Amino acid sequence: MADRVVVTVGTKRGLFLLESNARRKDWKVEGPYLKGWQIYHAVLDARGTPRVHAAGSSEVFGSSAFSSGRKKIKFEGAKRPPKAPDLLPKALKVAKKYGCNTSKRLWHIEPGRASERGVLYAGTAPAGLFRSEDDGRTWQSVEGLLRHPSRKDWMVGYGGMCLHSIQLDPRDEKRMIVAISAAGSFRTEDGGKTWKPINKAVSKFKGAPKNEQVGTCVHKLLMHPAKPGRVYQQNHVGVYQSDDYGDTWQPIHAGLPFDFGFGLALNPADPDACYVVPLDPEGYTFRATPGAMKVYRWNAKKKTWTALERGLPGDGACVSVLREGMANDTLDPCGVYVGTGSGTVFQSADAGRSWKAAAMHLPPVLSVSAAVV
Amino acid sequence: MAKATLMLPRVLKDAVGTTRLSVTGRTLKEALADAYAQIPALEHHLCESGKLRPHILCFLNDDNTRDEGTLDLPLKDGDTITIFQAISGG
Repeated sequence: MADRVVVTVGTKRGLFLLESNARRKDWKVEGPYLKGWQIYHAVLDARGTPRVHAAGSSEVFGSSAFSSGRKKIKFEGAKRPPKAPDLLPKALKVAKKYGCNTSKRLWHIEPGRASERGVLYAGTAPAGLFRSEDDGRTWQSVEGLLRHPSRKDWMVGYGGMCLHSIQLDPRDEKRMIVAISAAGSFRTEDGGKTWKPINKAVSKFKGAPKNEQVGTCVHKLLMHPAKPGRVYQQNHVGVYQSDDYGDTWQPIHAGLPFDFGFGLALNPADPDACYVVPLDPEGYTFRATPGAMKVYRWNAKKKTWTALERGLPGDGACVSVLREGMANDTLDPCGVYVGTGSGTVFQSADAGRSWKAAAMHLPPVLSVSAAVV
Repeated sequence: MAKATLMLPRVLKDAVGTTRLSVTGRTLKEALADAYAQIPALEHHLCESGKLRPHILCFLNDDNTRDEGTLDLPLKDGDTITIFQAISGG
């Protein structure tokens, strides 16, 4: 059995690390690290000697990828950080009209495959994909994605245009899926040289560009590691499942109180399960839970959702959960983690049946990620 | 060439590894260029589109260089260049 579970918690005011043993009952909270930086995402890279990688952004000083060993935390910024590209004219015009966030941020860091030691990928806002081959010291743009002819129609959301999901096929070193809000999802099968939009039959948001390839607002996308082809996405408009790496999608949100949400988590031992937190997109709880916090678990065999609420707050709880705010670990039963805008990290050690707060009174949580070391 | 000291805010230490740097140049602009040559990531954090980011102030000794409208200011030995970040809210 694994020794330790580490949850990286990115907040508006730095990075916190939560650590527990495999029982995941009691949690030690460390931090804040990287004070003064907004941590849009962080991850413990358990390949080889564990390292912590963090995507930090500042309203004053731009953004960088930070990296530290786990035993003794001492972060170093990238020597050559990823530099987000500019918004193209159509997106910039919409951003100005509606007051969308146009600042350049580093959004997500994804470790490469187990066989790719030292390789990391990063997504930025505005949307760009970057690759590092030296553990995050220097970064190179994956130009094939930026050259995609649909890019002129990629649109901004209120929070900007972020590349937030980077999913690597563990069986095929050339296959990768990325997702951009609000453009859609793209798949490469040649290591990033060329990209295919995979948004067929996914609902578009109101006012989306009339480009058949793009114009969907995917909020989070995850590829299941155990079942080839199985991909889930929480979209601005619905939750979807694919069994062919995104070539086709089936809507699965019937049965949820809202089809809107941001976060998404998986159960590594069960490809037929995924977890979401539906949010009320309108009204007084705008983009928050509607008076009670519930995590919903999908059962693809029965095609049903189960509300999981034991240990989660009711009594009028209006909490927000952002797109990087949900994660799972790789133990069985899996741990599921949900970070809220009100600074709590809820955690389940039994695949969602029961929940408790692993940490409270943190700054607003932007991201959670879990690793077993 | 004058030798000066560049002081950076604490928040940048995690990003560039230091808050104090010895720099040389005939002007403030050249001294900042020297700093960027020593630490390439520093230019990324201080500049956007070739100019200092909007919420950064650069002081040469006690003078706010934004008031001067240029970084082509003469530098002399022992000068201190200080980078400040805007802080607001409440």
